[in-house]
Amino acid sequence: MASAGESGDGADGKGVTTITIISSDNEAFEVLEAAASMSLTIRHLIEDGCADGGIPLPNVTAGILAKVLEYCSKHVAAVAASSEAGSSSNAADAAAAPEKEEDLASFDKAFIDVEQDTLYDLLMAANYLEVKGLLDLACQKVADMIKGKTPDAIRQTFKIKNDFSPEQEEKIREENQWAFE
Amino acid sequence: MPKSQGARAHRDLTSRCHRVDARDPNPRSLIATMGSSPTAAAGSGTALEDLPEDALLSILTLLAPSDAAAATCACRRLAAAASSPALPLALALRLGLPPPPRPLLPPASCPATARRLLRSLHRLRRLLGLWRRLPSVSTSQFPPSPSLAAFEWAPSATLAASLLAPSSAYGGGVEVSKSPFVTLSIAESGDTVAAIGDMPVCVNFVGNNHIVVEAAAVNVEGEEMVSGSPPEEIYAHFANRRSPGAGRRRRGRQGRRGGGMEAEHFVRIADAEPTKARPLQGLWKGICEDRTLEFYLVTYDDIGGVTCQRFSDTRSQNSGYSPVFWTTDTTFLEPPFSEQELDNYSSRNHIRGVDFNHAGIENRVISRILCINSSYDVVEPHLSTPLDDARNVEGRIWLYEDGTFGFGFVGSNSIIDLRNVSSAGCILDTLH
Repeated sequence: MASAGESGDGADGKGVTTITIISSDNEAFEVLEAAASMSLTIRHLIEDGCADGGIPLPNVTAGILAKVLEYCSKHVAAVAASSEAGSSSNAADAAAAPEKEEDLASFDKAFIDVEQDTLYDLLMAANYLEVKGLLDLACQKVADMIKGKTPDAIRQTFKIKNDFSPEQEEKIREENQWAFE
Repeated sequence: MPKSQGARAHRDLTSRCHRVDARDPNPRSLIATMGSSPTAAAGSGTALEDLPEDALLSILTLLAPSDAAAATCACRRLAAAASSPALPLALALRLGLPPPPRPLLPPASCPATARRLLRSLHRLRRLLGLWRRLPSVSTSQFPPSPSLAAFEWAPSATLAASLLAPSSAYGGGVEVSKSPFVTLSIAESGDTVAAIGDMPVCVNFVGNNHIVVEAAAVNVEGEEMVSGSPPEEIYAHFANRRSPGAGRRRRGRQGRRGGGMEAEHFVRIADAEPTKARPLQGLWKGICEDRTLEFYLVTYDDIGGVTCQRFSDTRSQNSGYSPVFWTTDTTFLEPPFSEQELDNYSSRNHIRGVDFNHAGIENRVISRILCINSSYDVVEPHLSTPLDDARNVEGRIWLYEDGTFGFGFVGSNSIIDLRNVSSAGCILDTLH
């Protein structure tokens, strides 16, 4: 059984189920089960009844876990709001839906605007936790940093050492020439 | 076990994420204070090339071929990821091909094959979407072949092109008939093979927005050949598998194109669907004054104007379009609308098909109205529209809440309602 807290303090009086997630450095985070379940890894652990006493994540530090859960909480709230708007007969709600989509897009853009170190950590955490939206967001950010750059510029941006010999570099360029046609 | 208490710091992210205050005297925050500094949260100098291979594959699948190639040339780690046999499948999944378990792509047995596979996948991706056939001067086919083609993913990792035409099946609906056209697939060698029925064809790009479809040359020399393994025979086998006699004909003949098929040119219909900023943009269909279904293309130009043209599948020498309206000012009227505008709309009849028997909604909810004022100074004089004589055509576009719209002209009491031909890349209301 999941380590669930029942709090009936939601605005509409409905109970909400929360889950405790524990980072590698032993910090506990209480979060809505719906938000935590955006991670397929966590969702499977909950479904398999392994969430008793909290779900430990030995691969994710507190700082990064906080950010991942912030992303999940924001997106789960947005999904809930848009399904309410969809089922609402209120024209104002329906008209507000595209604006809320824009809000989420702005959130995502600001959320992923982080230092490279944090970006990679988010990417790896999203990969490990199987949070598809966050993984796609982080990968797209890295892809956007690569776009339009020469190999040298890519090396500079990502502080990569050129570990090819001149012959190897020439061979690689030849093999990939098709991509420029 | 009860909810975490005691020595464990406790963060509540039920509503928003926030850090525990390091000055919090509450002993339950002690561990949080120790572990919550920003530097502890950061990685220990992770670099791009340290990311796991599946993450690098995800990044590479988001890149155009030239950007992926530049990344490949940056360092060995990226080069290794780019030549991973798993990359073509990752790209195929990203592009929306049906997922496993059936193996839908030829196995990428070596880097050269994987590169050809990637090249084929990118080529197929470029073909996705709607294309318009350019009129051919020498074509005397009657009835004329449909000029609208849709390239979509099909099962077994193929790309299927269909010709779209208004359906005459029910004489009044908005259904679109699809007839098979070109099928493209990826051979064992990783190269693309294409066919129309049993006839091998080539689909070649002329730039990014123009393709030529023509019968394949019976001699494969001069086309992409496999170098090294796999051997040439495998490529030839898959390239000609629908033409059992092709092998014999091939020898000793050079560059003959078979099938009697004239090369057909198609140009891409870019922006086939509306966006929030351009709600009228796209390829639409609607019942016109003749009570038949027609296709309409609405495009925005660089100076803020909008043009609507109707597809014509005729043998006329024009570009295959008939202008319907255009306007230079796309400022919409917002609600509340004047009585005059509302009366103008509600007094009109919505044009329906001949056998229309649906209890349709006559007056839909209008979200915005656009006044159109088209000058016919530059229109060909032989166009047959009811408003031939007018030098200026005024009318309205009524944008509905569901994103579709209708249009009508001053002096006419009808409305032509348009619907999307496709949505999110899928052709709507099709009959096979």
